[in-house]
Amino acid sequence: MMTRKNKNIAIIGGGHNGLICGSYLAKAGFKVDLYEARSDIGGMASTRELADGYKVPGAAHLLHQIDSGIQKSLKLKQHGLSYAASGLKTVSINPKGNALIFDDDNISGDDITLREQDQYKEFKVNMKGLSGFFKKTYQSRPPRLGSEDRKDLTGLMSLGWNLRTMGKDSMRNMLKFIAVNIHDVLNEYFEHEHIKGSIALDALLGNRLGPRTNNSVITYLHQLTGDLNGVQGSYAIPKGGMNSYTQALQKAAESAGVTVHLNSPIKQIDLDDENKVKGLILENGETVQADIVVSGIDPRSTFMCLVGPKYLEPGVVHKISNIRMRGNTSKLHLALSGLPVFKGVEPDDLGHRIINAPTMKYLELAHDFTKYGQYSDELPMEIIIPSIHDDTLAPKGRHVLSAIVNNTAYHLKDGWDDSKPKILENCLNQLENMAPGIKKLIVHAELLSPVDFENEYGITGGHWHHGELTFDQFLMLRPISGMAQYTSPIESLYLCGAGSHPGGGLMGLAGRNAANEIISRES
Amino acid sequence: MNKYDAIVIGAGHNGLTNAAYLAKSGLKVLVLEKNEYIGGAAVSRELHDGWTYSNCSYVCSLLRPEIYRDLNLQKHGLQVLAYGGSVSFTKDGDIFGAYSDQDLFRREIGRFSKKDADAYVRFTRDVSKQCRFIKPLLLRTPPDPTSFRPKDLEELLYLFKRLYGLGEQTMYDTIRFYTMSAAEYLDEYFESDVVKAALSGSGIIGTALGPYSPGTAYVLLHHYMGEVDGSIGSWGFARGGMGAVSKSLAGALQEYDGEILTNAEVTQVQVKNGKTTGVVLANGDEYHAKNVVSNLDVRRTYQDLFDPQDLNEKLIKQVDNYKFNGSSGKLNIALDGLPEFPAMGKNNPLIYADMHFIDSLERMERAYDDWKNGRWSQDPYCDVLLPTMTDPTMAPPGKHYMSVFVQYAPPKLATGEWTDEDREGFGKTVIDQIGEYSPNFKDLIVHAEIRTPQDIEDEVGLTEGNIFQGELSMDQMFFNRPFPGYAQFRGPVKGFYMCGSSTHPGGGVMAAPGANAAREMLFDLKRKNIVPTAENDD
Repeated sequence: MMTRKNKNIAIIGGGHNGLICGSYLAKAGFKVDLYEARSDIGGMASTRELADGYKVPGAAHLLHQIDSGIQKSLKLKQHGLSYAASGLKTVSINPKGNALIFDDDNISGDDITLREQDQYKEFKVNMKGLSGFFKKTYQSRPPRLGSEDRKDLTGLMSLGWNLRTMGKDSMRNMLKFIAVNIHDVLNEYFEHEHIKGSIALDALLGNRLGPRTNNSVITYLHQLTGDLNGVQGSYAIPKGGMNSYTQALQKAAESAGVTVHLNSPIKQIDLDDENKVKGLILENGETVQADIVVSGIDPRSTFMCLVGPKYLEPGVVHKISNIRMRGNTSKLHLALSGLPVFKGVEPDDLGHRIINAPTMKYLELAHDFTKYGQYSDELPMEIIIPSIHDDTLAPKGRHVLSAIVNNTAYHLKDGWDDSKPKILENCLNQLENMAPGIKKLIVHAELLSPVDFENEYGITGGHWHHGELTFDQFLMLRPISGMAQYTSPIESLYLCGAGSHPGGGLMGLAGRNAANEIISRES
Repeated sequence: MNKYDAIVIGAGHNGLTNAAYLAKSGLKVLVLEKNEYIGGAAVSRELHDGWTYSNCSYVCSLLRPEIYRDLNLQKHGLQVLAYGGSVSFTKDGDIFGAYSDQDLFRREIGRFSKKDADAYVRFTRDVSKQCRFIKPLLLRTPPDPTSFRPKDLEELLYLFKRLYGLGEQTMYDTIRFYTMSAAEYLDEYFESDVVKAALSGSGIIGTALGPYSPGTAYVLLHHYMGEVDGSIGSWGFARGGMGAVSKSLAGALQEYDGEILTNAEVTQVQVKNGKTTGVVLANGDEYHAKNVVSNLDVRRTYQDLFDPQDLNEKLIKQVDNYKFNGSSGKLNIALDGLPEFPAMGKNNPLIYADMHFIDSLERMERAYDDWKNGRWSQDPYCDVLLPTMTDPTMAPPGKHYMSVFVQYAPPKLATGEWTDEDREGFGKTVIDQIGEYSPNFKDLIVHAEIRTPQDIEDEVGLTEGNIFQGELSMDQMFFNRPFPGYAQFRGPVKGFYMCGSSTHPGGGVMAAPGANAAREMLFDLKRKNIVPTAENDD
């Protein structure tokens, strides 16, 4: 009889989800090998050498959604994860230089009244209540609808139960708000435009949405599920650069028995005559035998490139090619010879999360350009200067700035080659307006587009979450219906990446849930 | 005698339907209407000598056939003349004809894309499945999902059973259908932009959303339900204009001894000890009844007719937050003859159909961007019809009446309230667009009535001119319509009910909300239910 011990599992992709999935599988007794195409681990949570002595987060630049259960059970602290800064405030700037400061459930600045402070508290309490429901459903695999399977039925019942036990008001709010947009929700709570713009940005970052686009409530609640250090919606910067998070995961995986192979891009998932997984074929021609393959890369690459459409039913191919994964997010990296001064931002607040989202209208306009493959001169940004907290990132006295720039569409009418210098120039001009004099401090600047992310990290469309997080690609529909249980039509091929439930955000739950599913099916 | 069993505020088609059922059940019913004519937005008006305009709503698309038969509307003079199809004119001088003859239509799609012609078969099959699922729900009361009362639990169970009956894959499709944008949904089937634009039009009518906005796919249903429905009386022109719908409902009401009073604007709903006692008119007259039903939208009802002290704080807030997002305007045009559309050629049967002058999703979406920015669309989506082709009674012989529904026009402009100049500008934009495709059109214009959302609000009473009495978005649909906790047609005060399009299942000349409200009232009054439920056709 086959036991876990002699079942070989090959994991494709050394991003955080692949590492986490591997750790749990190895802990359960499987023999796990992990293959990463790049020369370092971490995927989107890695560190990038910007210029000599300057290091920036390659893509993701803040931690806020790591699941606390995973953090504990994989002992990430022991494996070296620590924070250079945590509990970051959000400083929302506007052209007038009136900064608005969000500190947990408190707001201050920009002529905020007591009433508005109360409104914000009420809003947060309500939204945290709703995101609590998400958080619960994120902890396990989504049930299949219409299935007679006991596990699916219990899953469905627990969904219903979680909804029912939220309390009448929360349940009503949930059923009312779930499918609409953050614009309408915020208008129910606030009049202050700057508050609304700042909150709306959280729903939009990384996504292809405007405040008025339905589905932006889901994305808002999604990012609110993070509870770093027990504080919902709290942000942290890992010490030693972004890759220290994934390095800790790597150590955890290795100590559980996972063998990590770097520089090992996969060419194909090898199938036998009955369409069952046989192993992997590497780009260099080497073949690896495996009883089970788990893919941490995006679902479209997995099935269209590594499996190949001819091994799949037309209906499945159709659904997979229709997964919406249009990246919309770029990264701006600056090496600076000194600290910039942002208008209206106190020097003490410079190390916090600075956002540029003065009004919802501003965000909506930026989105309007995106819809037509164009870009605005005014792009919403999330800016951090991690070197303030961590002196390993830049030479002494010098700094690095990392900004997520939203509303830069993957498909630009003029193409990225022509547009990139212009967008970079626009971004720098925008920054100069926010922080006069910053241009003079720039030693080196780069902009990474969704196309760059696609090339660098192999994510189709350069979409950070491996697929847009919208209602029709959520829960039992993520990545496509029929594959939401981390399984696939190919026997013994599983998915564990952000393209699966519950999606991206460095939370790692897709990886862990997938591991649980594999353990229960393959034992 | 000013004492009645029930008083209905507003003689719109839903108010009349509601009253007709109450009267039919034997109650003494009075309908009060502020205007000198009945019908609300379902009216025929002679605003230019010899011409009759359906000056607000212009087609019967979803009028419930069960009600049509049950209230004998045919006997009361309602004749629905079927018409079908639509035509889109393209920028490059071609046309795309959505013929009601399905074979012809597939061949036409094939002219633009062979692949799309095949996809159309799958598309209609999938959309029809959704229509069949939703249709019976139109004449049912939504359950309160938070309640544990047997009635609600039973209805929830019914819903689950129906949903589960669809099978796994269709259930997933249902969720996707309700939450996707028309553009994304169509993208999964079609590649030709013209085809997609032509099919998505019904996804934006009356709604302040563009075709790229998630939530527009299901608005498509409203169009398809009419077609799939196919029952007599549910789809087409009302002979003599939309006023014929209201007139026939009034006829039914009067047959059951119900009364209607026009020029009677209600200014207050009277409440004593938490119970409704009657209403007060603008002229001070009082009418008494233990049951009062409002056909007006929620904002008009609760902000204008109630003393805030009679309402709870939560409801007041819900009313404040209710979204109208008026987005449509209308032109009614009297024409001296038949306009020519060279792209269509002579004697093309598509002259009987809806005409559109937008040939891409991007143009439609940009039209929506204008709305967001407080302008009327500079390149609007117009739904143009010549009702006189089908019903010559609406204009003198040889002359024509053109109805132009315009998407989008904001209730308020970025520059402030609508002025006369703005109205003219709005009308010119629309007329110019049609003129581009019809060289003799402008010369034929004898009279044009231009209606902005503000005009519609002032005349009909629809807040922000929203034709559905409130946006049909997921947060205002089904058990959320108009608000969570009030979706079962009962108001916050005992004996007070809502029966307008602000309630389930929303707008369109369906008569369903009026009938649904009557059913709940008869239940409360412990009378026999005489309101028909949907016929099961699956």
